Amino acid sequence: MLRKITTPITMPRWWQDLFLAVPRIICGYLLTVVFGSDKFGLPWSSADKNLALFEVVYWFPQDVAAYGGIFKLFPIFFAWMGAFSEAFGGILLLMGFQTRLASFLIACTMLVAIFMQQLQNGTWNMLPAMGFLWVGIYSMILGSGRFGLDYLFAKRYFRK
Amino acid sequence: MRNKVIGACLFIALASSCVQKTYKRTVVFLLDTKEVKNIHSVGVRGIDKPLSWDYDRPLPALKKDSTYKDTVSFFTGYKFTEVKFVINDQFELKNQPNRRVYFTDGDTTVYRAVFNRSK
Repeated sequence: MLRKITTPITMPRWWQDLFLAVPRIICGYLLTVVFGSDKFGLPWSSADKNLALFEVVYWFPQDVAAYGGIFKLFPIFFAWMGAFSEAFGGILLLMGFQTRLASFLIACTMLVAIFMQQLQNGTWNMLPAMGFLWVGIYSMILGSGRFGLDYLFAKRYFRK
Repeated sequence: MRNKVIGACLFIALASSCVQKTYKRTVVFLLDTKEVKNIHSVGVRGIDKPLSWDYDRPLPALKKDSTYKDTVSFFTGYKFTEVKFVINDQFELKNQPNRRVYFTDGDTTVYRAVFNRSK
């Protein structure tokens, strides 16, 4: 199972992997440094936000509860998971470590952001989440490619 | 299997408990409007409830056409809030950053400002 999740699909040429890695790395960086650290406590979260490590910002569970349904029943859990997926999943995506797992979490979070948060605000407002979703989808299928830690781990530990 | 269940329970417990604590922060806004003529309405707008960017919270006159004052309580986890003052439905500091009001360690923060002049 771990072998299947970790081992990436590589392209025939190294530069094809590089082209796929660049958007993945940029999205991972943006998710963890810009979007995630605003609502989830990480060492690089702004001190003014007053967030402790792995703490979700106070207003996010209220926003999540407003989506209704199951989100209203477990707002803290879903808020924490969403913020964790962006902030910590972004680091994993950036490094290409457990890329498929991180991509799955990010894709789920982006689907919620698109359909529960931004749908009524129009297509322009959905674009950032859609961008992360597209990268999440192909990273979930391909894994990290050659340019990620998964490739090195798979080469070392799962070689046939 | 037992370890996985314990791990999952710990993860859910962690995910359900780590929410930033909120505190009641009270800010007294004191606005100097001496440089503005023909004042019909004075208000403050901001990012944190009970303020909003969409509508004014009226500032009552302490001294008409000169000083306006209101006390606002926020429930927030941040060390600051962001506001802008509005006179006659016109925002101050156009194309400039919002005012950042940093809360003091005590209960109440007094924030003095001159309309359309950043500190």
